[in-house]
Amino acid sequence: MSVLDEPRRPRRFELPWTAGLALRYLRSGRKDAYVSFLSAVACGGIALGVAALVLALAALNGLQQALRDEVLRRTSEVEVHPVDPAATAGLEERVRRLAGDGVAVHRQVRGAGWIVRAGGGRAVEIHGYEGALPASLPATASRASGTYLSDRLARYYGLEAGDLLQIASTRPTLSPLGPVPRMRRTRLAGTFEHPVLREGELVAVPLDLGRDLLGEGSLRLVVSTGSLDGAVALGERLERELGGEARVVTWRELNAPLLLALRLEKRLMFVAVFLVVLVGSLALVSDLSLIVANRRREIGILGTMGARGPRLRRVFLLLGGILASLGLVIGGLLGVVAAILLDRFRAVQLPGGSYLLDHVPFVTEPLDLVWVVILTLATALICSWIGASKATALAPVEALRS
Amino acid sequence: MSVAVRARGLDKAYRDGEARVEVLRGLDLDVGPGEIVAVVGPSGSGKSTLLHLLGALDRPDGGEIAIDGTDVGRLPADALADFRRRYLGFVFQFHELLPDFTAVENVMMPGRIAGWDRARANRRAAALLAEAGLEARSDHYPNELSGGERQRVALCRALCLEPPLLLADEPTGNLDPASGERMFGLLLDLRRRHGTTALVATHNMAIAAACERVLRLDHGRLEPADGIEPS
Repeated sequence: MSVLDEPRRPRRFELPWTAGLALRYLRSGRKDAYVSFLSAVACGGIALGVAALVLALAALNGLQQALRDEVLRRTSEVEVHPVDPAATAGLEERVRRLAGDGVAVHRQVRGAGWIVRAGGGRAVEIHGYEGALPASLPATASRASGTYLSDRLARYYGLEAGDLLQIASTRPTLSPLGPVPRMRRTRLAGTFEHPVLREGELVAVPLDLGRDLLGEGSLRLVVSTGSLDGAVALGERLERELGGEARVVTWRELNAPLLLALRLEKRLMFVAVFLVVLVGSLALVSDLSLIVANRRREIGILGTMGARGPRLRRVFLLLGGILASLGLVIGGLLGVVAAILLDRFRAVQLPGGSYLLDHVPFVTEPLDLVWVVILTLATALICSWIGASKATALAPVEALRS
Repeated sequence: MSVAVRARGLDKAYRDGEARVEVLRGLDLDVGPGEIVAVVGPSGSGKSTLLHLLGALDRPDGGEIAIDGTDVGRLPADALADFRRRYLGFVFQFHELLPDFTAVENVMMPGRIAGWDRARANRRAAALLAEAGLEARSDHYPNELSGGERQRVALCRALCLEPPLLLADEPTGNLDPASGERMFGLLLDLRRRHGTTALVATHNMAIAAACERVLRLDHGRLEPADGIEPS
């Protein structure tokens, strides 16, 4: 039986001829200085773009993670706002039962007020807490129940632990002279570090004093699970179980604008830095167009051998894909390694005291890398397709006449 | 396997700026199965154009071409590549070998394009190169071969899939007389052994005379060539 009559056999894997041709073109491209230069520009551009993208996303992740942690540390995990403050006791009992063991439930009141000093005052947010000073307010000394002021405000007024402090609330007291602000005197128990990200001033007072100043209207239950995901799940459960008795909000709703802004910032950064990858990919169009132009006659000859247009396109698509993958791998490795080193050696320092952090942390997230790979390959393949299409548009006879 | 070629009333013209150059004018051609026919004529007479039309590389402005009974002009564009692969082998004036592939890889290429695995295409290519006396040169790249060797490799490549019709456009036009003679001798030998119908465009009268029939392309039409006695 001649070779020509052999039946088709199931074959072991071998590279199709299109891949073989693409690899040869890649290898032989080195002989043509200008083609090599364009290939290097395309590959290098993609590598540079990918590295910049990975690094920018890692820096953003690090900063956002620190910011998020800081904000969430100072935010209630779950808040249950009773519709009827009078029924808070019963509600608290139900919340404790639904939350289960190991979950802390505290009452809290919040409202606006003033610190009143001789000759003036300053607007503050009043937090009335139950039990010890909440962990969200890192105290510099004791955490025992009492009135605490931010160290910044205490310094401003020259107050120290044991000094008397006068607090007024926006809830008025009806007097024979009409409504007047409700004012209480209390002794300062200590100070807490002023939260870096907080603009306004804060005073933390024991729950009884808080209720006295603000009334029952702003009473809420603050639930701490110790886990952000657990808090969301518990929030959903409480919402379901408590129905119309209370409004349940979790850290997610409480910080929705911030979380949205962080997500948006990351997306915009991704788009902006991805433009570098796009420029590198566009260089693929010129590179492949030049290779197609240089190989016109060969493409025509392949056409006379029965190579179809789509197969010829695949050759150049593979060539573009190989160059893009090379750039992707180099850029990806460069970005990840740089991110690890910059993070480990705290190479990007921030001016102390001005920011939340003293250095920029770099955190590479696997999902980011997946998106970088998908979008880079997709962009590079679209650009390669444009360049490769010139090969299919070439009629064999035109190629042979050239 | 061989096929008959039939062309009727072929017209083909090109635009040269404002001017319209009529290359073929109502050309008729009949080639019998297994026959080898030479087409002679001066440069620019339309020999290559005729071969391009017969090879389904270009479409005529008018007329019909039937190869093995298939009306080539009616084939849709995407079927032309398959048709060329199944029916046609091309040899050009310049070898047109792929410079990045060795001789054996060049000969394997039509088989690979047809979907053969490497081993099968390699066996076929090695056998053809052996027939052409090029076994020792099979792993050389085109730039390491002489002009005659390159053209013989190109002929082997054209015959890889044993096409029923071989179209050779000035196959010895770029070779010295001795290499040209050897190359054409090989073409005749391989064509005879494989029973291929062949159409050879040439202006080498000695080569034309070695064919079974000689036609002259003149003013866009074919006519028997006077004064050239086929062998």
